[in-house]
Amino acid sequence: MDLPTLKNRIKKHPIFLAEILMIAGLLLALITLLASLPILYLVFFSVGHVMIIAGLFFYFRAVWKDLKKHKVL
Amino acid sequence: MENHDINIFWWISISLCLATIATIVITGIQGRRQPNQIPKKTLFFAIGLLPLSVLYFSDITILQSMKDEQFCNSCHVMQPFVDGLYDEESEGLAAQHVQHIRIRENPCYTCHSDYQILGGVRDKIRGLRHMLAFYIKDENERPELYDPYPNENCFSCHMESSTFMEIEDHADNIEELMTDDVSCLECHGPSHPEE
Repeated sequence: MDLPTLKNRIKKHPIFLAEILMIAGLLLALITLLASLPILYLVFFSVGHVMIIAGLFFYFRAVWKDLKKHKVL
Repeated sequence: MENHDINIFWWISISLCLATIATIVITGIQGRRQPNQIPKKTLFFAIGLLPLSVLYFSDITILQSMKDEQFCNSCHVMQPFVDGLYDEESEGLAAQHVQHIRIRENPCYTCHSDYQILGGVRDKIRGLRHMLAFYIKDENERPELYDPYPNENCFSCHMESSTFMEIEDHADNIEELMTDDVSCLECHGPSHPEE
């Protein structure tokens, strides 16, 4: 998948970005729990948390926009 | 928290992680195939709620496992200290505590954690700094404490002992001991083998 296609997909489906970030963050959590290496703890606490929280942010932003679009809010 | 509790939390975290990833992937594929029928409730559960529970359980598991002495031992500069705990010939205070089962688990954390309100949080942040330093700095120097060892850490267990104040030196110097003017280690040290 090239960059313009990816950008287009994210624009069309805003939840796609949230899904990607969330899966990446969760995989990192999974690897950290399985491997129990100090370096992974460090990566999980810095990058993993940011990914999961960013995923949540993009998901709820997409939900908010959807609700506004359908005039629920 | 006991070690078997950590195991339960570990299993919960792993299960939640796998369940969340599977749900996101399945709902994602379903959503691409039928864009008009995106399972919004499942998606809310998978992306909105489950990851928060994963964060909660995995953070507890990881933070608890960071208390274990084998975690401290994973940095090579700490190996002489941790190995010294189990050295039967060692007369260091830490080794005496561990070998006479005064401390049953997490000996490093028990003696070196700060017993103030936010002490645990500060220790975890320091732990992360130690890890960062371990990977960034290439030093084999003997690590040193940030501050002189506080007597408060000894008092958190020994003050409860009925015999503590019966010892003349303790009773005579209680004010100096409470204010850290006299360190417990002056009489009871060294805590770890010198070299």
